[in-house]
Amino acid sequence: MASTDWIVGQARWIALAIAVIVPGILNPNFRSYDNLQGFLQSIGILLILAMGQSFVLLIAGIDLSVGAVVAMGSVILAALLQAGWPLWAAVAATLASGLGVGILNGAGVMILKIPSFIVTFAFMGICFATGLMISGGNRIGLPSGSLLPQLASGQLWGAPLQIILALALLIAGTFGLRHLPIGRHLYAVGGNQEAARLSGVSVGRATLVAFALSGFFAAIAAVVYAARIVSGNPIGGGNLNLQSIAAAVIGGVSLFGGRGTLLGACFGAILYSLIENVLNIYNVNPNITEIVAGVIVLLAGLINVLTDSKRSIA
Amino acid sequence: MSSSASGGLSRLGRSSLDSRRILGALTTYRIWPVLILLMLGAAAASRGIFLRPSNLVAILFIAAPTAIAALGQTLVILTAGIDLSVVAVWVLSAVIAAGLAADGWSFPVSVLAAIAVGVAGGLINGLLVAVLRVPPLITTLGALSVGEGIARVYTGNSPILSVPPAYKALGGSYFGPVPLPTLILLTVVLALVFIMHRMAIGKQIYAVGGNAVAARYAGLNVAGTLIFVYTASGVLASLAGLVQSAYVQEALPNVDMDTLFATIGGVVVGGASLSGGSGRVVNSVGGVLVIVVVENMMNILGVSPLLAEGVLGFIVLIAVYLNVGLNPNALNAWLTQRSGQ
Repeated sequence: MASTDWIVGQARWIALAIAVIVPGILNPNFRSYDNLQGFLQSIGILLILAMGQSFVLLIAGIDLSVGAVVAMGSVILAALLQAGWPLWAAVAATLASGLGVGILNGAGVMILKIPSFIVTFAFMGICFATGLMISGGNRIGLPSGSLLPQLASGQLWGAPLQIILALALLIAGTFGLRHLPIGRHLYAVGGNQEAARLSGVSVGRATLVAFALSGFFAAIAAVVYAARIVSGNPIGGGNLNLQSIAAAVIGGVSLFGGRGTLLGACFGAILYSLIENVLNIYNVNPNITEIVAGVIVLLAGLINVLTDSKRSIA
Repeated sequence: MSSSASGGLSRLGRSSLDSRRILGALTTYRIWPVLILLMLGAAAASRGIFLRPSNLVAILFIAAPTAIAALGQTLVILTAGIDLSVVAVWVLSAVIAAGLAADGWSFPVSVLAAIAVGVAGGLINGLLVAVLRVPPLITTLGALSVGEGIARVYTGNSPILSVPPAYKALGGSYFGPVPLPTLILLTVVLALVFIMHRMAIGKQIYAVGGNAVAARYAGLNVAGTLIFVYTASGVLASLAGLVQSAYVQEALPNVDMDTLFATIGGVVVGGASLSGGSGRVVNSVGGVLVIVVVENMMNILGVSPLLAEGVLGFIVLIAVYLNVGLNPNALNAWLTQRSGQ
């Protein structure tokens, strides 16, 4: 029994090892420099979203609006740049839109005491509709000569800029969770809301901060997304909800709140992207990739239940 | 309003039991007077366009599949669960039925295959939730992705556009003035009302949703009850997919998240609590009708889709809030107290 527990506990490391070693040995395309470069260029969005989602999962919530915030944010960014706004102002407005959605999500959960999945589901619809309204339903290209696409593919000391951005967010977020009072409050609220409240933690403020951070991180991901596809796409980001939740949970962030780290979420994002990359290399039908994504969510949920002693006894 | 109602009630019923019963019925089925008021408002706001027979029939056709899926969703929500996979089962059943029918399989075979999809999907959800205890939200989120993926693989991610006449008849026939999809919906409602109020499983569903631990200590088969509700939800989602694809005469492999929101929203607007244990199946039909009527009214008035989306989201959020703050018992107690004065 103990040994099965150990295996379940280490399942994610075993999975990562298999995901790297097996295709690494079998497929020269997988270990090619081009594939590795492309892989690093492609994972920034999921890394950032998985960290954002983790803040909400830590307080035992869920944020189904992140994919829609990415779509809406990319449209806002492209539209503002087309309107002649300077890059910094357009990026700031995009980040503010995501932060605003996050605050509204948090306020809905905090003030109205509505389950987070239904609040964020409602905002998913509202954000997609906003993006469609602004763009008229079409993609909006970035103005030619925009600096943004260069940033997406840019490198600093050989590392892609978006990886450096994700790393900076990881360091800042981890510091905040570990060393700031609000960070410890997120864990406390997710661990036991009633106990947290009785020991003087403001549950409402922690809730608001968690959703605001998730919206903010989603808006950062929206900037990276727009830079990558060189446009604003009002119907993009559809699978990102599922992927961000899957990545966080694979990385050990508990669905029941109170447990997990941003580093773990990043690990989950890398593992998830590796699996997709391998499927790509073997030319697997992208529709099958969607099936695999669903199975990964189910498996991650199952492993979470098996390893989390705090799971519901019902 | 409540004072005049209570005056009328005290003249009607001699014993306080009767007035309490009527008040209880009014609070339990409060969505129906709301729906009637809304329809009167829609008729006034649209200068009668809303009440045109063609518009009312269109509403019935649009509402029927969503309401059928919402009925299954209700059973799941009564157990404090959620089924995000209804739209995936919906499209998968539709493409398999339409695909088989287009390939020349007989009508009954295609329908049975679609229903089998619902049974299988629901059983898998139910086993994951009940036996392996994966949270319903995650289970059905995964199933949503898997189901849509299978539908896309099956169709090569393109719609099935040709369906045979027998299949079209399922979605487009009338019995007198009543569309066949509406009759199917009414049949499902009657069957579910019978199950919920006359069979043991109905009481078990309310008990599990009220308090799963207590239900288990009371010797109820909690796992069996959960497997039943998810399977029922799968079957009804299949039926919804069949009816809707037959009505629009094509089957798309892509899920519609607005439909998913309408099934959950319909249940919630109908008064069921997302924390389980309280709500009536028939009210979910009223909730879906409210949503469809609001959409239809905004469509007639030419309201922008963004505003329409926002209004619907707002209605659902307010409904969740009212169900939390004003649960039927609290409202009932409040009204009874007022009528006693």
